[in-house]
Amino acid sequence: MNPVEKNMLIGGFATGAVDFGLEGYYEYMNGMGKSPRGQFPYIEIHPAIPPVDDWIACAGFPLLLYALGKGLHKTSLVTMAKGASIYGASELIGQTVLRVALQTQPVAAQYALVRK
Amino acid sequence: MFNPLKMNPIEKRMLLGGVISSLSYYGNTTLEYLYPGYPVQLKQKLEEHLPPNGEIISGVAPPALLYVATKLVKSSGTKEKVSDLALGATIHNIPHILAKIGVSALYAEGVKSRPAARMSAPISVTKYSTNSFPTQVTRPTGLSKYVMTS
Repeated sequence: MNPVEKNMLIGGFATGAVDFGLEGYYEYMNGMGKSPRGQFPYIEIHPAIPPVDDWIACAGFPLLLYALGKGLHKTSLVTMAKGASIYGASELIGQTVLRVALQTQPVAAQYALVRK
Repeated sequence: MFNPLKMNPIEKRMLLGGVISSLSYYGNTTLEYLYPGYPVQLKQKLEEHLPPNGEIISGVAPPALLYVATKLVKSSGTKEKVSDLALGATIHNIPHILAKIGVSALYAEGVKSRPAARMSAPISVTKYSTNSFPTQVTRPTGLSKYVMTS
């Protein structure tokens, strides 16, 4: 891998780490039976749109990296921001597709799922 | 051509690779939720801390297939394009699947540390659930293959 690709992959991992931190806390508390759903940042603006924590991890963090890179004139940070935005944009698109698909289904067609 | 973010063709292909990877993963999740004939084997977990098999397969498959395609393609121009798609899929997929494994492990740890009195009422409130989508897991009733449950 060349340095640009490495930096993009690092950006993807950094965004994944932020996503993991927020998602991990949610699932840990959910496992304990104390779901933080509805508390900041696990707030849904609309059921078809990903909640605020996903926007923070997948859009806020890449933007922060980009702003830091531009502000500090560090090309490597800007490249990391590009990798972060590939992760973030893909994740937000995928989650929105899933949520819209669930929303468009009639309740009768939805099956309770034992996932855990 | 409409290009508000001033992305070059390589970046566009990488983003497309990431979106392909994401759609594969969430397409599988959508089927898992909505398709009654979803294979049971894909819902199972190899280990309680890991995500279900279907999620791992649908996550790992796109970059793996794209890398295989990179090796098979003869034309250097096409090889470069497929390679960009594969890198984009990897940038999304590898961190994502690692995060999912960590999240799944944390959930399992959370269940372990749940007070014993609450264990009899397994309730899973996923982030994808809505008011119209029932997520409360109820104990199956009726005659199962082996025992009568009530």
